[in-house]
Amino acid sequence: MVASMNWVERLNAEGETREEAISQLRVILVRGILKSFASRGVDNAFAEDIAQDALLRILNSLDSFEGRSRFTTWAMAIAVRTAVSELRRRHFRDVSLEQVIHGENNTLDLGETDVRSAEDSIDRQALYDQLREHIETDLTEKQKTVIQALLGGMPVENIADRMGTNRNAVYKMMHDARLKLKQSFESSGVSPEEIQSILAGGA
Amino acid sequence: MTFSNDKLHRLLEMVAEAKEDLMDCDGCLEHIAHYAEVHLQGLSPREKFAEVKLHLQSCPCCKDEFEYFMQAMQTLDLE
Repeated sequence: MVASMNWVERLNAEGETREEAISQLRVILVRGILKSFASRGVDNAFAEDIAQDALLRILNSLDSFEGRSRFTTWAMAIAVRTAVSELRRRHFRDVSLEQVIHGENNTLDLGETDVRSAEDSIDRQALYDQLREHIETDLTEKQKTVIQALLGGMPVENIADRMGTNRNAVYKMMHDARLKLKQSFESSGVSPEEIQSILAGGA
Repeated sequence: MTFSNDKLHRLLEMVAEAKEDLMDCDGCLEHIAHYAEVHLQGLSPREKFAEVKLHLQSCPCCKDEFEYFMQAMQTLDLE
């Protein structure tokens, strides 16, 4: 195994040493991408393209590698995020936020087919009504849009693209909305445990 | 903006499980490599990994990426 510091030194070097290190790292990344995305049917060309993009990001981020993990593990994490981002981008390329919100898209790997119906209990229906009210009164319009898009199957980073912001900001909007709604239920005397119990068919 | 009962049901599950998550997706990526190595070695997650674990439970995108990442980890030499 090549030591982590050795990797950084070689990638920071010049000439043949650097080229050899890049070439070795590319092979490692391609192997990892092919393995992790085998079930998605990705081919060698896709893996090579992703490895190339990831290498650029890795080389630009070498200063931020702190040695907490092995270098190759750190590099692979970047490559996998690059690959997932690209697959999400391709899948949602022609899908607008409105289409997702109104249920006109093909969702990605969510497997959601369970449509709630009249068989929902009275308690559960009351909970839905209360949630609708909390959404309407306690969330901002942006939070409502993010929640609708996420529930429609669009990943955080694709929503961020559509909203002209970044993944962290969208995640924070979703996170704050969840906490706000939880707080609203608690303020009206409904605990998280009661929510779970009603959803499970109890209470 | 209307929410179907199906969506409300899933949102309620998310609301009931919501916890304060101080990490964001970029912060998760910074720690995920170390977290994965510790995870694969079967060691007890240290205190500082609690935030990573919580973020993975809260963020569907990072959770999804982590699962693919663990597949890729099988190809690395972690001796």
